[in-house]
Amino acid sequence: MLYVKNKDLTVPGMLLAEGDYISEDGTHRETGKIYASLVGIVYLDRRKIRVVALNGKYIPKRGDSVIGIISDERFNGWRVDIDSPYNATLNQKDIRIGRYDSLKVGDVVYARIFKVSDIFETSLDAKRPYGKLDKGILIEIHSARVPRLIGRKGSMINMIKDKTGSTITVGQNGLVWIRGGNQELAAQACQMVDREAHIPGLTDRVSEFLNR
Amino acid sequence: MERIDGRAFDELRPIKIEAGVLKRADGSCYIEWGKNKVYAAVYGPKEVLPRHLERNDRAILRCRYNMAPFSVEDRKRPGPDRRAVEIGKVMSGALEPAILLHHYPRSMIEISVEVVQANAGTRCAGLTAVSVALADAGIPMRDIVPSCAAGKVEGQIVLDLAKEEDNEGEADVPVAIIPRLNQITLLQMDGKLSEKEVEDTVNLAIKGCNEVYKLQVDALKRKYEGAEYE
Amino acid sequence: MSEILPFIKKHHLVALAKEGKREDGRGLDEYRPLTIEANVVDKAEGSALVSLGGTTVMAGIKVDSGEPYSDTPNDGVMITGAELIPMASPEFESGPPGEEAVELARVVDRGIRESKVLDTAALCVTPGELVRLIFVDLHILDYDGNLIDACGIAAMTALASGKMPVLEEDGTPTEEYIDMPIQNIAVPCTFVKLDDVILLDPSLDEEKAQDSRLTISTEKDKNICAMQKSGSGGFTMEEITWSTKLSVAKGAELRKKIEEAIK
Repeated sequence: MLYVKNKDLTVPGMLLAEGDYISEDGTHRETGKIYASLVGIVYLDRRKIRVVALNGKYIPKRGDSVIGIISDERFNGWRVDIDSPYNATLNQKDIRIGRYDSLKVGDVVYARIFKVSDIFETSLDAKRPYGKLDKGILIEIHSARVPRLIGRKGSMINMIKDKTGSTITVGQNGLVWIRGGNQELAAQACQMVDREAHIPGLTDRVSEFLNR
Repeated sequence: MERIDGRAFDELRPIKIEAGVLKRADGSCYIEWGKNKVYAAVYGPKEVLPRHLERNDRAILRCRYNMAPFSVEDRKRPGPDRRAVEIGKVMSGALEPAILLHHYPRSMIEISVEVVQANAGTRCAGLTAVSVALADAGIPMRDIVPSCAAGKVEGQIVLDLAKEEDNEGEADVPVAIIPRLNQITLLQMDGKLSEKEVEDTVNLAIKGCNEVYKLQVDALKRKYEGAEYE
Repeated sequence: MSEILPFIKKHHLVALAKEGKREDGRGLDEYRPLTIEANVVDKAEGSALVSLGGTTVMAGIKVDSGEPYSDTPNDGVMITGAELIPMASPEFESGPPGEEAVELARVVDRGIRESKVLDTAALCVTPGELVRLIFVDLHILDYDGNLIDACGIAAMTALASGKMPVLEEDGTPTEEYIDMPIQNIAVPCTFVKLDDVILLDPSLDEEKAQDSRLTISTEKDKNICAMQKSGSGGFTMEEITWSTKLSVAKGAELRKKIEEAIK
């Protein structure tokens, strides 16, 4: 028995379904019933039920590409702040830097998460095509809004890139690096998506904004 | 018996709840409950400091309750006093069973309640606001936790005591529940009640909690209405 | 988000500043949107809620009576305190005020005290024995840059709209209230220096990127009544003169907004 429709808004504790359903992300199961754990949107896929959070911190996932800030030096590497409850580690051997260069606290890197333990100890790999980021602009959006910024098959982010001529690198953790082209315009467009993701008609509004 | 402010015995004071009112906090809520004005904020999950408090199996909760110096009749010295420390502790106990802490090992959830105007029932107002702030922050919970007090004034069991009633009353019983689980997670009492009166008072408080719950859900829905995702 | 400002951000802010621009589109000498609300809490004898950009602070006045200081036996006493409560920022911790909170309270206090906002003689009840104690408490709710100006405006608004109880002969308060004896309006203007560019009303990131900070308080006759340089960099004489001139102009604008709010 389903108690919600696809794309309904949920709040924690809301009863979603009873019986032979599968509880996925954002839901929990108790005494044969499935409840929402978060404020979010419920998505139904046959018997699978998940709630996508409208808020919440980025939790590191293996394979994700993220942008991080060097926050501390470690023996043989660095600690990287990836705007998550969990810091990540980058070892010296996992990034190519010039012989006389090094990463300092305050530097920004684009990296791939290649390992996450079950208590979220996170390891980064920043070898090519990843690496240190220089110049340009760095902005932050909510990690929950990243899929919206990228868009279906990259439609949103490509539209912004085309209309501004900027290189835009979107970290799954919500940090976005913009370089070249009309940087300011690109940044504003990304922030618009972050602010207005919940208001329908976003794609048209962003397109209009970029055409001005 | 007429209550001082003309309410029925089972009537709540007017309550207004607004979710997401602060910029820096991960989740926040502002509540006006009768003449109480209270802010609640949540930071987290975040790194645990000091490190030695870290737990590998779940997140830890830290609750702070504080009254601004100008929130009461006689100025209160800044910083939590012993009463405030106790309230912080019972708040933790009220919320922990509702939060899915095991989702975030090695992390900490920091909760803050600041009372800027007080008129009895501040811990219930604070806890009610905190639950909304936790949901606003995207912290996974089994349910939202409402809180409400009932007590005895001039021989009658009444819901949600205002300050004048609290001062003159015979008992005050603040309560918080996890509605879905039928669990009472905050229960305190001061005063004097018979066994039967305790039961009646707690049941009345629970009735109040269920009404407050609807307002909490409504506040969250209002903030996130019309949200689209993909 | 990390509390460390990444180099990319700092360079970007400096590059913008050198072109006379800022991240949020403001000019170098512009304030962020400012809202001022007086009389927001009823247990305080005066109060104000101020939002300056994303920074929100609440000021509350509590009036009590007590012994005067021995060197000013016929004057009332004003005591200003500030609390950087954990709610306002991931960097604020519970506990007694650290040096940031203390400096904040003292700088706000200095502007108000030195311009004689309060007619302290009118706060005397029994000379040498009993005077009014005016407590100004600043409660920071949301920190997004420039606490000094937000707090200065909040404290000033709370005082200017404040009331105190009429006292009997022996000092017991009656149910009647009179206006706080206000004879001036002082406001701070805070600048930060980024490379060699001066910016008014720093945002959070601009504060993190700063080399140094300068606060100048002005009063209604356009005199300067308090100054404070903070941080580890320095200012040239020209920079100080420029900032002072701007403070007089901007101070007048802020004063007008406060007067609007307390009507």
